[in-house]
Amino acid sequence: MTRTRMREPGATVSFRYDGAVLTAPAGSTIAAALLGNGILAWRTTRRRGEPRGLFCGIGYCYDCLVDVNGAAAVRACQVVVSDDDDIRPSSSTGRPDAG
Amino acid sequence: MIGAGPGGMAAALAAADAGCQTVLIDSAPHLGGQIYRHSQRLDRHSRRLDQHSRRLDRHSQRLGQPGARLPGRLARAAAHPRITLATRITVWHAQQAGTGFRLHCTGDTEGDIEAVDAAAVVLATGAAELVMPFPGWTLPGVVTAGAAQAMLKSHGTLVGDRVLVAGTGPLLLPVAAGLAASGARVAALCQAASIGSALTSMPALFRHPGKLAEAAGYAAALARGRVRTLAGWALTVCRGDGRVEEAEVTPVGHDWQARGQARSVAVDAVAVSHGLVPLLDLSRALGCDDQQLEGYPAATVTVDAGQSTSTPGVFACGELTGVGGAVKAELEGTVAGAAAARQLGRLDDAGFRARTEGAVKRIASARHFAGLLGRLFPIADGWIERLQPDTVICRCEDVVWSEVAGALSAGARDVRAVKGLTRCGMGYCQGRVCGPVAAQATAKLTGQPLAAVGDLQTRHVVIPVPLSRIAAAGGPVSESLE
Amino acid sequence: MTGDVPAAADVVVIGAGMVGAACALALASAGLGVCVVDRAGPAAGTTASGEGNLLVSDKLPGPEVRLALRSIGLWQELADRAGARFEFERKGGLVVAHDDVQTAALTELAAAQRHDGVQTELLDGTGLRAVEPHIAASLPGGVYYPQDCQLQPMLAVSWLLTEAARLGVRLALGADVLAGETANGRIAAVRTTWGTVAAGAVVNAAGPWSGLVAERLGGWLPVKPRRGHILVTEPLPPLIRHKVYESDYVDTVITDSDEPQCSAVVEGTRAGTLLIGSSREFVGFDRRPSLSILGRIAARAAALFPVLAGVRVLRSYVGFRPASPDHLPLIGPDATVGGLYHASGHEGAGIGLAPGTAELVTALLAGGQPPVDPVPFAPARLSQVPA
Repeated sequence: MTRTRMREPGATVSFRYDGAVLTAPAGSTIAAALLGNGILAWRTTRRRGEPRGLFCGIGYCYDCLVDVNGAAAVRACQVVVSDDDDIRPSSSTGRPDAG
Repeated sequence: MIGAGPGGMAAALAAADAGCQTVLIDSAPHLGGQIYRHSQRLDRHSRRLDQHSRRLDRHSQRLGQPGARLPGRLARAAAHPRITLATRITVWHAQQAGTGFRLHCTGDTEGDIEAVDAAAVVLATGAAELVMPFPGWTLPGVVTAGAAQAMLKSHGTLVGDRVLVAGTGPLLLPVAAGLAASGARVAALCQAASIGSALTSMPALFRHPGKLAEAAGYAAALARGRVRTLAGWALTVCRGDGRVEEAEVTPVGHDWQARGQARSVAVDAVAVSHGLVPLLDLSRALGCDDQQLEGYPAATVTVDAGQSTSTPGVFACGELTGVGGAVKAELEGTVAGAAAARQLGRLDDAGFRARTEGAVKRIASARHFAGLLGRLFPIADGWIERLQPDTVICRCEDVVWSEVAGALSAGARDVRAVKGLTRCGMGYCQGRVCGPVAAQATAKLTGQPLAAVGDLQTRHVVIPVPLSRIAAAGGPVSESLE
Repeated sequence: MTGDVPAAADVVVIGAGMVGAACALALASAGLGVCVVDRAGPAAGTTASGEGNLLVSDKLPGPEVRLALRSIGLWQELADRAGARFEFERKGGLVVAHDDVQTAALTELAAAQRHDGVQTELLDGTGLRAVEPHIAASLPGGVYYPQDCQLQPMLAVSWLLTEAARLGVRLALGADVLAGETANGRIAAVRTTWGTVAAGAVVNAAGPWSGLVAERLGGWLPVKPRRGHILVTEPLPPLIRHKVYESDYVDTVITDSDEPQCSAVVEGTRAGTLLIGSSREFVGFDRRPSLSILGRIAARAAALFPVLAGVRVLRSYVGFRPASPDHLPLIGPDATVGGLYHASGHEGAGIGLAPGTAELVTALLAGGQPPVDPVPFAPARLSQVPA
């Protein structure tokens, strides 16, 4: 996959996505982290089963939904990635409370 | 102040300088909104961060953007004794409460503030990008110009190595220039507006020498990056297997109908934008009047010379009152903040005039430029002809064009009816992306003016909010089962 | 924008919502020439705010439940033809009690409803949770109604109007009714913003605006808007299988109190979202939702289904039910104007009662054996108090 991250040394975080361990510069949003690793799509739409990833980039389109550490349908472009995050492709739905 | 972009920050500084206790709220983790972006990346060594930020700011300065003022304003806002910063907080509902207002908030973290009570409110919530659909626009890798900008400036991440920048509007220039300066190959910059419309606006453009210089700066950057600019060309199709691999561009007339042979370009990303649509959720929640724009599927909040909306105590500035960029937002923000301070008795008329005189003089010019932008980069409805039956219209609910067209031929005469029959606009984004699209298509196919078909801009719940939060905000705290 | 109205029609139906659309199809099926007039598009009024419920569970024994049973049977016949087109689902309804007093009251009500032909199944706490696993553990019991159904109201109206158009029904969607012309105390024509239609009869199916329309036609109908709120959640994995509501729902319908009434109603949709209601209040046509009421609805729903506390709400909306003074629909001839028939006052039950109403209206208007006793629904039962 193409490498789209500009070369810049500094602190990095490592996180899990879809079975792989990836890294990204600390402070990146999940969307930037995934894009920087060449991943453009991390969700499948419910109705037509089509791949989606980043679209508006600023938090109003809700296309970039991803599941993080058990929380469902979170906007990847708004949430900063942390060390050891468990990120999964979103089911495009919310999730009921466990209790 | 709701929104900490150039407008909100200027308003906060103006109000706080005049003695008001001010809360500056923004959904993002950073101040500056969309246009002021510095690197969000945290490096262990602050020197590296400064170097990187300075490099990005130098890019901005070279491109003539107002980014250079960023450090000063941010520092002042962050350090001001009377400004409380509330970042990562989104106002999901606003209502009049007594003589003031209650802003219901939600944040990412437990224990975040749930409500802010304010005697006055300045709305600076900005705009969302307008993107008219075309076959293949939902392919991964096709993003808005703003998304490409956000990725680049805040994260140093390119959305692709070979990017087509297309659509209509002034936003495309800094995006293309920024991508080119950062090492991406910009396959082309396609503006649907032709050179002709620019030429007829030439005389008016000369009233804004600063803006002309800015544009010249971008043109130079594009030339350095060997970026072809195609005026009068539209992005018409995207193709690819699981991601965008090829984009088709076509020469179009002023009606956006095809006028010649399409050309294919190999790409791995596309940044597209057809303009900006002010976000009216909170202004509508507070009962502020707005007016539909002519020939453009958006409305702007109506304000008087003191940036006051039709609801006393509520002021608005920036894109909300008319898309016009950072300078207009700052000027209006300064007036709005001072006007709010005057409303609350912190400033008398003389004090208000003293603090806003400079801004007021320049606002007229900024508004003139904003109007000019509308004429330079008009939108048309020729894109409707290019829709395929399975072109997605509502991204959230996967509603396709054949369903929308079907609703219209079944008798739907306004956007709400289209929504009810197709679910268009009922998804997570609640019509922010598809609303203006549905409005323009409805107007065109039913032969009505835009003002007659309504919009999907009224949202009583501004962003998705947990049921428990609504329970806490509204009725008694616990409705037990006894 | 204007359009055409025919010069004449056997019947002019005012209102292209569920009741109007059903009436148009029924009248056309009986061989009458029909023109439907609505000042806006199809299902533009109350119908668009409806959840699409077809219920027998919430009907009081007597004429109301008998009409509901008849109507649901007709819906089933329509669904057999095209149910998939409007997401028809026989999902069943569940009414739950919070304590033993409510359980006893529910049991008594269910017995009376059974007497009129309603199928009911009494459930204790364990039974409740077998049927709805996520329901609050503390609820002692409830009643399950297998006959309750759901559909998508706008799609259903669209289908009804398409079928009606096939039988020659003319649609004038966008024409507002201005006045009626009478001759010898009988309606002779309807004047609209698109022109005048000579009419042998008129059916007033204008929902919460029926009172206004009646007045314009020289008649009288005491229908008032009764506002409701709905919260809509984000799409979710399948969670709630039936329409579930609290037993005090029925009380909120029949009360005449001015206080806003709230009672939890929760159900799923084909689209994966949950619809959460409900509220009832008389505030005219005020479209601005009340945060206080939304809060109460949210709290009651979360108490009923604790699993919903963290689920996100995407939007809220209000709707106006056409309320009649004695909580029974107003179906039948106007007290004074000959040839004017009312089909309104269904207060939140219009979608379910639409085909039954249409059948009754057709029998009264065209002559024929009324399928249910028309007397309890006759508008003339309510007298206009002289000014």
